[in-house]
Amino acid sequence: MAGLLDRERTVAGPGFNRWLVPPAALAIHLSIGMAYGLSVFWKPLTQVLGITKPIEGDWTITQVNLTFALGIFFLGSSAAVFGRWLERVGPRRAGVIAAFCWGGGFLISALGVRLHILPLLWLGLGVIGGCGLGLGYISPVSTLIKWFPDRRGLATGMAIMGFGGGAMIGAPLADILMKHFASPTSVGVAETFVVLGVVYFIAMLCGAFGYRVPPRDWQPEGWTPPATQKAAQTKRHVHVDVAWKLPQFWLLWGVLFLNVTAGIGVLSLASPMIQEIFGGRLIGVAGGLADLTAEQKASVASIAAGFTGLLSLASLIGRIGWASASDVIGRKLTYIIFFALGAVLYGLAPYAGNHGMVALFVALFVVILTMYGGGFATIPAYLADVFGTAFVGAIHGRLLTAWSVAGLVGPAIMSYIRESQLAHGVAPAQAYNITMFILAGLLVVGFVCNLLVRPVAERYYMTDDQLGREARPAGK
Amino acid sequence: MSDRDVQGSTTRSSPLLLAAAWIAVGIPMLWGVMMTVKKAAQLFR
Repeated sequence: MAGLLDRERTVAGPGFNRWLVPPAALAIHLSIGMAYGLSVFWKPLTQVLGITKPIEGDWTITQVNLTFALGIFFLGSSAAVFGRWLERVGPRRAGVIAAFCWGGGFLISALGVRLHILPLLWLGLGVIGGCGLGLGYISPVSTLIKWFPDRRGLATGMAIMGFGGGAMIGAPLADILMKHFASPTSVGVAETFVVLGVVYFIAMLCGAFGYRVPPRDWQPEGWTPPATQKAAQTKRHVHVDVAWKLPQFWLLWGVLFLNVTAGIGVLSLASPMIQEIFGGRLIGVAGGLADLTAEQKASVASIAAGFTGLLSLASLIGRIGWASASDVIGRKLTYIIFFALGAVLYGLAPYAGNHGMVALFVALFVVILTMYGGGFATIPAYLADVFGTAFVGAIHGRLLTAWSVAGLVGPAIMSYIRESQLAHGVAPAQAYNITMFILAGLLVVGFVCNLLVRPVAERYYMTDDQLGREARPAGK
Repeated sequence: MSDRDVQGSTTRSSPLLLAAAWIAVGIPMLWGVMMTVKKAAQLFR
């Protein structure tokens, strides 16, 4: 088994078609992407004892929601810690371990639900599952960049699109399974966790065993790096231990952090936001949310769920769309568009809200969310352009700590300002205005960070001797 | 540029394998997108 996982065993033979690697990466990313769909379990998990309604001793939403926060925290941490190891051992071993962690995390959480032990739920999907998320997320990045030197953005966009799509498959599937397993003595969550854990484990193993790394010095047939190509794209390599000490790394950390903070903040409150801003207007009735009947509120909530779904779809399309576009227009310009256009669109949102322009409001956030997804998918190619490909997986792993921090900061900004506004007597429909201007401000800071990214100075690049001493594996 | 890759190659990856790999990930993805589109459609009713 160990031999099968060795990097040397994953070097592609002659005639291997590089287009086999993206589906392998997608199998892993579609599985771990369910992390964003876990919210489908929160409500049932609050009535594991009461079955039909929460009773004394049942968990609270806040308690079960901590599982997601832990998961995202351990995603960033494990990607940062194990990125360097992954570069050494190769993507297959990392993918297999990710499969054990993510699939096993579901099984441990299932046990936690069955025995009603909250720390087991956290340990399973939060800690162990979170490590699976981190390892699984970064496992294909470096490999794809090496297989597609001519289309780095497209290649990483395809994989990272899977992470955006995972919840679209997993959440409705989980809903179907929970209904199937629900009984007078069970809400069906533990059984659903077991099924999903096994399915994801198998899918991720298939993906991991589908990984192949290119032979050393491989390049696409008939392709040579254009001499005048994209001045910002280096052909040399910076060691991961050097890269993270350079300003370029921290500027790109800021770029990812600010882009994600703004987008994740909106995503976290998308449903209440559209309901509170437009109220009855969403169903053609005058009045705010508080003036509606229970039935009307249910219709408004259903439309808000549609809005959330549309935003998820926009994020998915943005991942592949913007990352592919960055191959043509360049990484820096892509982020210039994200930050400049994003700031303008956030600035326009209060106008659309105040004037009851639902279609404009929805359109603004659809575009914003494409750029949120695009930011995730384009960053690995940006890193490869700046630091070279030899350690891009490890460098990307460390950069993902920005995501962990943004996952805490973005929703906190949105919630805190909303609550503060409401406490000061601002009408719910206007409670998001200041937030939008603050998010626009964050994007302006991101714009400056991106502009400041310059090519790495000559002295920081590795020499050929250093590369040799690193016993670089095939494909570097 | 050809995407059938690799210099001096003689044994090519099977096109069937390639199609199967893409179908295996494509079908669940399409199903997920379809479910999301259905949900999002409520916004336009």
